Amino acid sequence: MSTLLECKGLFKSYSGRPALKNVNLAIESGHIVGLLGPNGSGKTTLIKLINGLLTPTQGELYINQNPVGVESKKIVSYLPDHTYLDMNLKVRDIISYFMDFYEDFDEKKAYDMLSKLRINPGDKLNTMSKGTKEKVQLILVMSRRAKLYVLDEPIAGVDPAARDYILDIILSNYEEDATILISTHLIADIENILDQVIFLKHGEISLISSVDDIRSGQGKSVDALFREVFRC
Amino acid sequence: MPWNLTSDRPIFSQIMDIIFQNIISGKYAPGEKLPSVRDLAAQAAVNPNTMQKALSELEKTGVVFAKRTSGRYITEDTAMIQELKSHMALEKIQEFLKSMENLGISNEETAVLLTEILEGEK
Amino acid sequence: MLGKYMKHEFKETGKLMIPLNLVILVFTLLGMVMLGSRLLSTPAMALIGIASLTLYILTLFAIFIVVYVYFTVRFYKTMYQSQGYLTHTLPLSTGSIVNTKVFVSLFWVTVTVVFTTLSIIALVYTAMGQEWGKMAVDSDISFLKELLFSFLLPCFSLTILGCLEQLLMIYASLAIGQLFRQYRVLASIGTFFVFYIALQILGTLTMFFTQFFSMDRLFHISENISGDSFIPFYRQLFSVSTIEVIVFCIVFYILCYWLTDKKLNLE
Repeated sequence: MSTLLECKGLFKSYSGRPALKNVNLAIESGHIVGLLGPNGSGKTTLIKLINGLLTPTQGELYINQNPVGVESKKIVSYLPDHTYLDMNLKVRDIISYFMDFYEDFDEKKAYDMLSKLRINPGDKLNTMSKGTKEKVQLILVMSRRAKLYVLDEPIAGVDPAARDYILDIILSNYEEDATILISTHLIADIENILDQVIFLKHGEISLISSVDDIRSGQGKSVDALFREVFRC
Repeated sequence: MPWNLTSDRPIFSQIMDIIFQNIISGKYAPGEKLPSVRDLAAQAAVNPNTMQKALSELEKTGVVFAKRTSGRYITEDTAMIQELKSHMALEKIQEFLKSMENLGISNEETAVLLTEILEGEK
Repeated sequence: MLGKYMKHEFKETGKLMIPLNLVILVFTLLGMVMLGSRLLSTPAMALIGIASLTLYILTLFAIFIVVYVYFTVRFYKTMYQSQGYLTHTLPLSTGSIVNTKVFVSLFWVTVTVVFTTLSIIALVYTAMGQEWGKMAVDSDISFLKELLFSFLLPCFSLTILGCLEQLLMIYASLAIGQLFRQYRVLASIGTFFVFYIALQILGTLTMFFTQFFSMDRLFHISENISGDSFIPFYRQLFSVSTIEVIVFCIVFYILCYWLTDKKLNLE
């Protein structure tokens, strides 16, 4: 197994205020990794650094041995924590946009998922409900045959039925041997699909472990451990 | 519908139990092909690596066997399934007795209670 | 990949830019009909003529404002706001993105400038076509040639360069504004005005020194205004201004590119 994502001594501060402190990480292919921490712990900052939307104050970051850039963007499929598409476009237009730019985009898969969720490809985004928009974004992201999927809070703010659907979309569509990095603070809902977890606390990594180790070693769920580590 | 898993035990062993139950109850027939790891994982809403681990463990028990290219199958050995059934029944009964014990009810008292209830149902 | 990005940018911006230029075309055609039909000869109709002319000029101004505001907002939205999440996760280099944005916006500004110029020429020609015809016949061909190559073409290219400079100045201001944590729009506007004032000061200084060094020629012109001495003076003014504009374009471009590449800050 090769290292897919590597962070070396990563620091990020916003006008002097530190958001990430000395993050060192190595994630391999073929895992579903939970990036867990309360709000403001630096999860989104780390994800934005991975996607090149922010630049590190210090330290290095490699994706499949490449620095963040054109090569890394070809193999990373990213779901931001808010809507980021041009709302005036139709779903069909956005699909052709993705097809033009991402060589790994699977058109058939996208249309299959849309019809499964009864979303009309001819509809404009701004006529859809918030939940439907989020589903469209997830479909676009999961229709790529990427090596690394980075999902920022994919289940925040959706009802439990939609949550099952979203997890199903993620599990049935990601490329085998790919790694999924999911950030969330709703651990109980997704802990069954994780095999590794990273706990972020005040911008620092406080734990990297496999879920099995937590369950059999400590005899408790990740959720229970999280509540313990982050007790106020 | 995701499988019902609890938080206190490793997930792979819970998955094994659920598959055992499905075999015993006949939901998976002897000789039937199991869905792929990926599909099972999606059905159960668990990590595919965890599902993989559960299935490998199941293979070790012999209840499930792998054909090199075409996937995993439920054993055709009905005797083995029968044995599994009595084994699991025994486990459940022991669990039950244990909880009765925790309530301060001895095995003998439990037996009496059980007979009463069963006769009442008739 | 760069070609595809350019295609999408043209498609998106064309949705507004094509109708805007059609508006100019329609106004021009209407104006030509009005001027050509001699409808405006009575005093009452002359009033309508003046009103139409005012409307025409205001529309042209409005169109230029819309074009600039549109490209400013579009650059900000697709580079430094939520749509930037998509723009900057496409497998494209920062150079490809910035170059495409600059090229496409300059293209449409140029189209609008050309349409506007042609519109004005067409209207003026319709109004006093015959006089112009005579002038052209009376003048000597070599003078017209000289006028075109030494005055009109440099004038046009300087205008386009000036448009490029303005666009790059706007984009550089936005790139600086996005560095801030809060009040990014305000910071961008502030930066723009700082640039603007600096440019005015430098422009005035350059103008002053150019004139200072060509003082003797200036005297020469005032004594003897003829095509021969008039054009060389403008030629010099043009070349100095052109160099200045090019230098600013390069500075603003580098600022915008470097900040987007190395200091992108999509919080």
